[in-house]
Amino acid sequence: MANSILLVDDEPNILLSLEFLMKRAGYVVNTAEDGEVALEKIRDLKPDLVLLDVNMPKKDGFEVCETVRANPDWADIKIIMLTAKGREIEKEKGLALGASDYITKPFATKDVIDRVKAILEA
Amino acid sequence: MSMPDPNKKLLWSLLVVELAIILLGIGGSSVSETGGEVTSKWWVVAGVGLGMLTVQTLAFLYYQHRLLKPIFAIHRGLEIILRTNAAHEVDVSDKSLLGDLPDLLEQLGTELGRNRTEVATALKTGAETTNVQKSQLEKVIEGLKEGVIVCDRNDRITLYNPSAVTILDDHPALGLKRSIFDLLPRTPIEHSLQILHAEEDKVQANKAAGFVCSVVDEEIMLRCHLAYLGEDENLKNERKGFVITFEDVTARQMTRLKRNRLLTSTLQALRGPMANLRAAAENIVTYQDMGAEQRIAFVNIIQEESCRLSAKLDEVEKDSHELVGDDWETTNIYSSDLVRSLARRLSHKGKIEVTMTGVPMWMTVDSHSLIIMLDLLMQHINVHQGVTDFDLEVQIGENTQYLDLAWQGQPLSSSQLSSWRHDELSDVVGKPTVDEILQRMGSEAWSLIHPRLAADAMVRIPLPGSIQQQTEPEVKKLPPRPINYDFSPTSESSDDSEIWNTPLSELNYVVFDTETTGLHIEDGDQVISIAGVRVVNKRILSGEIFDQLVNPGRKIPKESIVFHGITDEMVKDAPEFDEVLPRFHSFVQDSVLVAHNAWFDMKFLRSRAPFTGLRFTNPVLDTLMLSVCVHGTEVDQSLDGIIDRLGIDIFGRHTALGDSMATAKLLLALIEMLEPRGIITLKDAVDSSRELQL
Repeated sequence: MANSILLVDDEPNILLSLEFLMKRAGYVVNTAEDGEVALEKIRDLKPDLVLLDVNMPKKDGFEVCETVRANPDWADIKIIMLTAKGREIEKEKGLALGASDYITKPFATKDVIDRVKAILEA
Repeated sequence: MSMPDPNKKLLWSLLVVELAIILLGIGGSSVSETGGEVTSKWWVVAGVGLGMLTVQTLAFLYYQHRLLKPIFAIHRGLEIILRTNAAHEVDVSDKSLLGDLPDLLEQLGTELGRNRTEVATALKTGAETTNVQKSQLEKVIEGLKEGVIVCDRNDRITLYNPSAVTILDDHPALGLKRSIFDLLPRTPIEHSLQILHAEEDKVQANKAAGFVCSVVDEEIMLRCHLAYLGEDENLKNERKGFVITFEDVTARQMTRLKRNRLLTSTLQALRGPMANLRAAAENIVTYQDMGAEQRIAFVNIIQEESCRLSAKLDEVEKDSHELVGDDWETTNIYSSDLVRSLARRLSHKGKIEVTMTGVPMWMTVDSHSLIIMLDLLMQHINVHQGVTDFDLEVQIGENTQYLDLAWQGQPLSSSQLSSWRHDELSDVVGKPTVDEILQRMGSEAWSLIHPRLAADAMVRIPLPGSIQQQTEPEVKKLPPRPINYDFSPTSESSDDSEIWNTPLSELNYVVFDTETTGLHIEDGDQVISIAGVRVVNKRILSGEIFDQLVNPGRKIPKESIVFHGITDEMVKDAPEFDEVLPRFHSFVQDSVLVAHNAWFDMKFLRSRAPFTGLRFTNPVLDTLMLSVCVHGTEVDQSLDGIIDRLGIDIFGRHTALGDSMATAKLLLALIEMLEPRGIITLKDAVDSSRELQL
């Protein structure tokens, strides 16, 4: 069965592109537009991987990541952080909080597909 | 006790005259009259005369003893009381006719003595207070972050603080008695002095003038404030001494410059791709009937320009990180001091305690903000989890230092952390939030289970840009350099009679030393290190030093390394001697040059004159020669030998700087020993050295 991916971002334009991209790559795709909706969908859908934007209203990406990691039932869910900031310190923080990888916006679309693939196949 | 001579003479003359009159009377009567009655009458006269004489003598003796002697005693006592001993007891016989005058005199003496003691005590206390105030002032000036330079009315430097040395990057022209204009440009200083002079008569005059200038021969920008020293009315129309305080604004200027450049270049760089993107996208949307080939061309443009924009954004972001936090106030602080300050701050509140763990290390941080931030953080954790005991550890990660605050309990959730991050630091100027401080520091904060202690949780705060190298220089013990005697002339100075007649103890010296690849300049040996220290007013100014490794442009022979410990690796990035010499020349200025076995060092110094055009025409003193003047040639005259003999103790010997320091101490010791031998002035010293050569 195809892997499922949850895309979390508050910008609909990027969701549209990422959804198109991931579907083309053969994954089952769902989307959420803020942190709270993301946690609901994670609970309901148990995706294999979450592409998680850091800067969002309500709950930011770090909080979502932390909540997911705090729940042992969700230990298998992989997380890739997406953010507009390219600061080394934030990468370190994301990884320290349990993300598997980190992608900086703007990104090359091929790069996103490659990393998602690498993490799901690991 | 005896009478002064004139009184004795007076007494004896009086007696003699009276006796003579009586004898004359007796003689005259026996010659002119022969009758018995007459004769007896004259005897009566003589008897009365003699009686009167006796009474007079007795009266005189009585007054001499009771009145004159006591008066003379009082006279002498007064002298003693006035000139030497105020507590002197006036020795007067009890039977004197002077009554209680001697007692009154003694009381006067006692009173005088007490007054004198009081005045002396007041003077001493005054001097002590002045000294305390002076040393407090010195400490204040020393501790100032701003540079301070004080100049006398001849524009010569009379005082400067450690910050001045740091800010001016150890500039060779920074030294006592040096002209300020070798250090800072003349125009702004003179202009400021003129402004202050013109303002002086105004009621609300400006007390200081400000200017920005660059340091002579350096790329250091300073923001300076200049003010007159003191308010001496007598000097109203004369040039006065002045004080310049300054801060380094190079970094700030550079940051501002970089920021402006970044903004300008970003705007320009974005405009192009933006225009291309917009035109292509609008064409596709507006002219939907265009051919497939045309559409693909426009779509390709959109793709290309997006990539260009992306790349440009990455670039800008990278540059902007360098600028964040640049004008943020950071200082160097030892981590244990940071924890101590934090503990002190917490102790006033009395419930939270913090313990330092791990190895202490140096940090470059805004310690004030950091301490308040940590205080707030601990209070949050205390509120959420009731924790009162914390451990604080600073450790080095791959590229950054981490500040880890640990406690027994659970990690903080992001929402708990973010409520802390919205706290205001009310004690900090502008009341920034924790989040803003973290941003300025280029930092973040997150909470985890402690990686080493499972029962503990921690908050980690990375401190980018705080890592410092703190290695102590290695001290090596090396054998001494072999000694050379050479009695060639020690100076080729111009005939400046004032300096030649100046006492040795009042001269300005630069005591220096070189390390070389070998002893034979004619065989191509070169200088590999040169150092010097300034000696002014019999004080070794260890803050005013010159210390420079030199690239000799050749291999350093292995056999010489045992003498100086300098390897090829150490000098490979050092400047060449011809680059170093102008700086040394400017460090030396018009001081008297001093070295041990000076001919050797002077030979290397002077050898480059044809190439650099720099002539060292300063008077030269050789501590070796001076030591021979004092001790003769029989004893060991190597620097080590003399230093051992005189008990001079110096660290870091056998480096150019260590040997300069040792030679400077030796110079001061020799000046002391030469004085009793009649060698007082520079001329005496040079002449004595010359005599040895003959």
